[in-house]
Amino acid sequence: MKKSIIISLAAIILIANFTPLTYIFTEDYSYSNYNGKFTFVEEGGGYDYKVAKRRYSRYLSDNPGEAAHDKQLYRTFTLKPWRFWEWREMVFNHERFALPYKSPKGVHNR
Amino acid sequence: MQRFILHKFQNFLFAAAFLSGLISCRKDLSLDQRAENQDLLNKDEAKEWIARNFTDTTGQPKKLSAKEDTAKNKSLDVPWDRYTVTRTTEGSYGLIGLDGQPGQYRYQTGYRKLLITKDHRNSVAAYILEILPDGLYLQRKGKPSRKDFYGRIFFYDQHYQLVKGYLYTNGKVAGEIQPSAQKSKQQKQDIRVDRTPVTEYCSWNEDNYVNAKGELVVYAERNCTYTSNSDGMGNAGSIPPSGDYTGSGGGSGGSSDSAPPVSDLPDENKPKIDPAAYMKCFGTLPDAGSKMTITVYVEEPAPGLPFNLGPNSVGHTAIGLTKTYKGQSITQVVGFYPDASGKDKMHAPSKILDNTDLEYNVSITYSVIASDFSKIAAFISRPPATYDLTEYNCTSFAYNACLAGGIKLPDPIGNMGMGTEGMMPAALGGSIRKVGLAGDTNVKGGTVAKTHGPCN
Repeated sequence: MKKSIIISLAAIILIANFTPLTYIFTEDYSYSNYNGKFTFVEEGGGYDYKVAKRRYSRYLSDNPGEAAHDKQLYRTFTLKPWRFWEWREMVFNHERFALPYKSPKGVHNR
Repeated sequence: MQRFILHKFQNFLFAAAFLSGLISCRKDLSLDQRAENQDLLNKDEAKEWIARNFTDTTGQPKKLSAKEDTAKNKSLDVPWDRYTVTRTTEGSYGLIGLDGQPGQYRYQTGYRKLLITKDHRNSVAAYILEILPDGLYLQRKGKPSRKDFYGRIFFYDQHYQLVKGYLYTNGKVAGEIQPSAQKSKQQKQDIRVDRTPVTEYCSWNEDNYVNAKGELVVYAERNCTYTSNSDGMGNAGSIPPSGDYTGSGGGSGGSSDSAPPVSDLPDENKPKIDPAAYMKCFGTLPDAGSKMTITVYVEEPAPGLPFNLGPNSVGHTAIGLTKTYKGQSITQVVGFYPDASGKDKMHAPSKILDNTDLEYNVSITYSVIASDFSKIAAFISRPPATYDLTEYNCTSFAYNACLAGGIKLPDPIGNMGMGTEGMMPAALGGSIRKVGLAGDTNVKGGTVAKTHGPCN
């Protein structure tokens, strides 16, 4: 009985993480610079964290004043480790989750 | 001898007359200049007037900084070094940029100025102006100018009470603003301009904004529309009071003499684009003599593998158009997405995004003639209204766009799982790899360069 529950749970986790379902249920991860003048929201399908990094890099080179003040890119989404359907992202695309957090409200109130 | 003396005397008289004429002219000139200078509001006069009249309830000079701190701010905080004076037909006015940024709808796009006017009767008045350019106008122009200003200018008295204001459209007054007093009514009246009847529809509507002191200001705005069979509206927008209050000579954020940089504008950070505006750019280059290419970029879910899901999620297919004429090149790369989040992405209204910076694994390029290029651009300009993950996704869009221009891409259909088949980036990427060197393909991948962006 216990074994079948474990197998079922494992199957659910695998299906949730390794089928296109993940595209539907994964959060639209969002990012911002320190003052909210640069923001980026992942839209899935090519509009992802890699694009966010490249666009932020261009933004910093276009705005050297901002770069001098704080060039850190912040995540404006909270970590939700209980979302088992996002575990694949947490493992394979860990970098975005390691960014420091800034509340979207805090960013826009600056 | 007598004739010689007479001749000398005559010369002396002429010289004296000429000199006296010259002196009187100079005298008249200096009198005119003095009269003109009397109208001109110089800095000291303006300073003295402000010190005398802009006082708070305790009789102390009023602090005009953005955040009033009554305990600390007893001195007049006007950056007089920014003072500029301008002569008008009614007299003159001085302007000084102040710190503080008013804003509307969460976006701080405005700036403040202190206006001091002086008319021919030496009557002086002063207002604090809060200038709130229209967001889209500011985004397009970068810097407001009086000539084509869109937005609002609010006039405050020395007690920071809203006195009046004007709504500007293309540099002309299109409405007026008053402190709110439940003015929500419609007025209709017939007015006459020359001999042409013009019907004026006016309505007062309440709105609000946050002034530079951080206070919510509710105001009533009067908007008028006019119907006429002639162009008798030509003078309907005379600007009271005259003066270039919007442009140079003003201040922003306490540090600059121009309008603040554009930031945080509505929709500025939203990635959704107008594909028609992107495609319009190609019209700036002539068809004759231009080289035109279509490139389809594929980001495979798992590069080189047939899986529909991998490190790159479900992958993506984008389409790029390039037109080159005599060394000048325009490239636009766009993609088709659902305009939704979560499970709604399955079937949702569509949107087009700019795919600058897309990291692709494979691409394929076709040279096309002008008519086919135009058909593809037209298809992209009016994309299908609905996105469906299985029926019509990013790959379907790129495939059908190419088909509109007579290009048949390598087979994009693959197994989507659960017994269904459909167009997927993984399948298209695999097919392009199979074409290999037979076509103009790139199987080493790369990054999409910055696109041209929209054209108006």
